[in-house]
Amino acid sequence: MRKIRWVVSSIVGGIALISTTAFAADQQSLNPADYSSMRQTVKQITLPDIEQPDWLKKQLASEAAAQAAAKRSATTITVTYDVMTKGLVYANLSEFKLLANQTLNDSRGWARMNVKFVEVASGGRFTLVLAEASQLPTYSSGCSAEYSCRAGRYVVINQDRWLGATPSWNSAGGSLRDYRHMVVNHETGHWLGHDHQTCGGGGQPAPVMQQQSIDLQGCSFNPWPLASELWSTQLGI
Amino acid sequence: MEHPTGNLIMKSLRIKNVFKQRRIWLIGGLLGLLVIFITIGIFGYFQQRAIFNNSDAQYGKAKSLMNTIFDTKASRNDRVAAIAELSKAKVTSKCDGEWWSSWQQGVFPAMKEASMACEKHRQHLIRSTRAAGIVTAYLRDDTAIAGQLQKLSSKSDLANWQQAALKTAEGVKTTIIGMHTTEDAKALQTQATKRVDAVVKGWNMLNDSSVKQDKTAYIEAEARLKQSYVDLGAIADESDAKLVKLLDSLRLAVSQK
Repeated sequence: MRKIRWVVSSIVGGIALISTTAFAADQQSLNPADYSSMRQTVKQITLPDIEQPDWLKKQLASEAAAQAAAKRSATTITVTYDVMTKGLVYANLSEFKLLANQTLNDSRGWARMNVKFVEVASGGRFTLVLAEASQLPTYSSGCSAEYSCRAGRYVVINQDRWLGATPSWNSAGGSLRDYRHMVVNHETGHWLGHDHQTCGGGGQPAPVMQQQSIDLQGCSFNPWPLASELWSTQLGI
Repeated sequence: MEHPTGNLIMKSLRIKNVFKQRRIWLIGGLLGLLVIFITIGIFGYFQQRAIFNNSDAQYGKAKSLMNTIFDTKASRNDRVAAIAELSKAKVTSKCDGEWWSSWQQGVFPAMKEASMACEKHRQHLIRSTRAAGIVTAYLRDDTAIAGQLQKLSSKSDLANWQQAALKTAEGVKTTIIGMHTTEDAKALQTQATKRVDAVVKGWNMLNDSSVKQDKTAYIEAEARLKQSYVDLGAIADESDAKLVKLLDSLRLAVSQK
């Protein structure tokens, strides 16, 4: 009796299983991707890479620099320097010292990095030199008698340029005072860790690290570092 | 002067001849009718057999297409081609035969059964080809819209490619709006137009803010543009939902024999 019941229940169960399986096969869900390429097409549509425009890059860099400067504002870094002359120097040394110090600590200059430049009698972190033009090549093979330069810890200002700027600067209508600000900032910029820059676009202020004495490249005179130049590998800023 | 008896005999003989001739004509006529009837009967029989055979052949071919449409191993191209072919499948216009032959179905049970089977297949084919036609028409619109959307991801080599991207998106939108789609694809067309319009607006905002050098607007435009590309997925959702419904109808039509 029990065997018969087992056989019957097995048969009934089997039939139920078969019918369920058949139903499931018939009702299997349809995949639209088996018939339409729409999903695949839409998946492949991606936004092409948008390169940030130059103006935005500059704005962002400037903001980043400003933010960095704000962070640094809590601590002031003091940088000492000493001043010396080399060769036959007949320019007014006191005026040179005063103007150089004013330039270095000007609120438009490197001082924006919260750096204070203090002149010391000797043993400064760098030496600011006012040198006779012919003495420039003695500092480095890369230095010429024509322009100012930086060699190691020496920030060397060419006396001829200090007194008369450059012909291209003068012919472009630049003032001697601005040239002096520019040359001190530019050569000190090299000591801070900067290389030369090029003009960012016609009519824009030139980066102070551009060789403005030689060619403005369509930029306007600018004796002061741009916001994007406010960093220093020398000072770890 | 004629003899009256002789005349009577002659008369009765003439009448006899007339009757005889008429009987011959009648028998001849009946035989003729019988021949015509048999000829028509045979002709009608073969004509109906031809209808049934033709219907069987059509149905066999359509069944093979129906299997391909829902064959999990078939490729997309094969499935779509099978749906399109099914939509164009020939269907027998009627299974009764002509009036002068259809009487045979009342006489021969086998003929009646064949006619009923033919009609059943015919109705099945009508439902299936109609449903396949609807899916085919929808897929045609779906493919046309997908083809337009493809253009959105192409980056031009031109210096002002962002302007070119805007022009492309505007072109895609205009083309989609101008498409003459079936009623079933209207919602898809509307959804595609809406989503591409968002892309157009994104590019417009980006280009405008770039000209104005407005950083905040530019960054917002960039985010909106990115989102508009992500939102294109809604077109695929719309397409999938409608297609599943139409395919379900097709499957129902195919499975109801």
